[in-house]
Order: sequence, then C-alpha cells, then structure tokens
Amino acid sequence: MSAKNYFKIPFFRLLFPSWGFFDTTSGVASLEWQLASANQPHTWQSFPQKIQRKWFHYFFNPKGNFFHYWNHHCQLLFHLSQTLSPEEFQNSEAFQRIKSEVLRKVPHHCSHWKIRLSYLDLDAQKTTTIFETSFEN
Amino acid sequence: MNDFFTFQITLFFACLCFLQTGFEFIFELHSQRKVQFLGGLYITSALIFLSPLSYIFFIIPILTITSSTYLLKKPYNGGSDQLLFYVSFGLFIGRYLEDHQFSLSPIFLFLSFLICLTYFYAGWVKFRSSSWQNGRAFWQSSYLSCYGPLSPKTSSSKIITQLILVFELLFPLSLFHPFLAIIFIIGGMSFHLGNIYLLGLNRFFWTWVICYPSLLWIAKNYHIF
Repeated sequence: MSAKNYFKIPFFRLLFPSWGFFDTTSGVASLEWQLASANQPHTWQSFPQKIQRKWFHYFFNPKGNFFHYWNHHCQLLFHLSQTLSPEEFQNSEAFQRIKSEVLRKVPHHCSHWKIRLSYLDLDAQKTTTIFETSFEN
Repeated sequence: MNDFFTFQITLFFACLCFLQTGFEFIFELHSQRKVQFLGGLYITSALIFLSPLSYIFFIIPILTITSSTYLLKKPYNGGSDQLLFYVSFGLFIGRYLEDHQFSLSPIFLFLSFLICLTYFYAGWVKFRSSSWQNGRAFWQSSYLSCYGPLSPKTSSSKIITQLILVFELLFPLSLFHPFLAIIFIIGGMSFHLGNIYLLGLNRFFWTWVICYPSLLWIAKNYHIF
C-alpha cells in the first residue's frame, strides 16, 4: 500500500492482514517540535516521547501503545514527504493529524512553534532533516 | 479438554484482551473523548464475551474494532488489531455454533489456521530479507521501540534472529501433536514476552494468546503422529 493512498482507502481495508512484521527496517523517521521565540533558545523535543520500562507494562502500557500509534504516523509522514510536494505534504491528513496532536503539547501562551521531520539511515547511522516548518497560533 | 471448556477459555482470554485495550484507552493520559468512548466499547465487548448472551451480541466486538479503525483512521496497533478482528469474527461464529449445538471444531480450526499463518508468514518475510538473516534487522527494529534502541551486538542479534526465524517458520508443526503444540505455545509466549520487554508491544501477547487453546484442541483431536 502506498503511503499516498493510506488515508484515502476504505477504512475496512486497513483490517486486511499483512503480518510482515518489521520486514523493512533500513531507516527510521522521527518527529521533533520546539517552541520558537526570538529572545529565548528552546530545545527540540521528540514526538512521541520514549518512555521508561516498567514491570506493569506487560499488562498495562497505554503510553507505549500511544508511542507506537504516533510513531507509525511519523514513518508514514516520511513516505509522504518522498512522494508529495511540500504543499501537498502539509495539507495531507497524516500531517494535519500529527500537527494537531503536537499542538496539544504546546503551551497556550506560546504563539510560535516549529516542527521538523528527520530520517535516520540505520546502515550509515546518518540523520537527515527532511522537512522543517514553523507555525503561529 | 472438551469443546465447551476450550471455547470458554478462548472467550476468557478474549475478554482479558479487550479489557486490557479498553482500560488503556480510558486511562491514556493524552486521550481524547473519542478514545475514551472506544475504551468503553472495548470494555463492553469484554463483558459480552463472559456473558451467556446470544451470538447476535457478539457483533459488538467486531463493530468495536472497526469503529476503532475508523475513528483513529488506522488500526491502533496494526497486526494485533487485524488479528483481533478476525478472532472476534471467529468467536461470533463460534457462539452461533454453540447456541445451535453444532460442533465447535470449525472455529478451533479457523483460529489455529490464523495463528499458524501469522507466525509462518512473518517468518517467511524475515527469511527472504538479508538484513534479518545476518541479524542486523533485529537491533534495527529496536529503533521502533518505545524504550529506545538496543546497542548493536552482531553475534547475539544473529543467534536471536535465527531462533525467531526457526520458531516462526516451524510453528505450523504444532498442529501435528499436542506435545509439539505445548512446546510451540511456550515458545510463542516467550517470544511475545520478549517483544513486550524490548518493544513494549503488550497487545500482541494478549491477542495471540486467545488462539492458543484452539491450537491445543486441534493438536489433541486431529493430530497426525
């Protein structure tokens, strides 16, 4: 299934099994965000954030499953960035969904913030910034 | 282990699986209202599996998974949601057969086939990949973990990968003898517990466990050797 059509196909087709778990792992996309103000430097924060391993995660791991859900979105975003123009990419449903989720983390008093999508080539161990943009609330 | 007992154990495991997902949705810190609604649906489905209700009510778990996929725009955890959808369909048919006092063996066969297919196909995909054969993909896939990546250790990665490959490709042999079924079920549970430890994928454990009683029943009643 191409990433471009992922959000366009009928939803029930998403339940068709593929079961080729982790068949391709040549690289990993990651998303980061930061507050952007002229007078104060801010660090990039990863989204979704990694968590600490706990014993009860065998039974109850909502943050871990939340991580996997949004991390999969990030991998899709990377594929979209390879096939769509920057405008189409920013208007894609996957981007809008992830943007609104990140926005929930941005404090209300902050008017400017940025997002960047990076890709780590696991064989070369080299990270490349694929896309970066800023927003105004 | 008779038909009735095997089916009740299967329903109990399905209940645990739906409860686990339901509570995760409800207690998820970042959850939105629709996610909490889905959590409620999952818990309702779990209670239906434990109830003596007619097969008609067993449509609710199927609708729950399709609603989840629709509202979240994708399966929440890919493969586990996909298997759970098919398992729920199997349990719906199973309750129909139970209500009408038919044999439950077609359902046990269906669930056993499903679980063998998932393991074998996952193993086949890995077998064809050079990065899985040399063990590199094992630590590479850990970059998708919610706990962070493993440090690359080529020798141990290769041994673990070979063990996973052999386990997944040979899993269908479990259908042939109850002893083999028990060995592969222990292997499968260890595999999924390892996945939880390394990747945090706990939903896979609870979903796959639902099919194990059916596998044991088929191995016991239809074994070849």
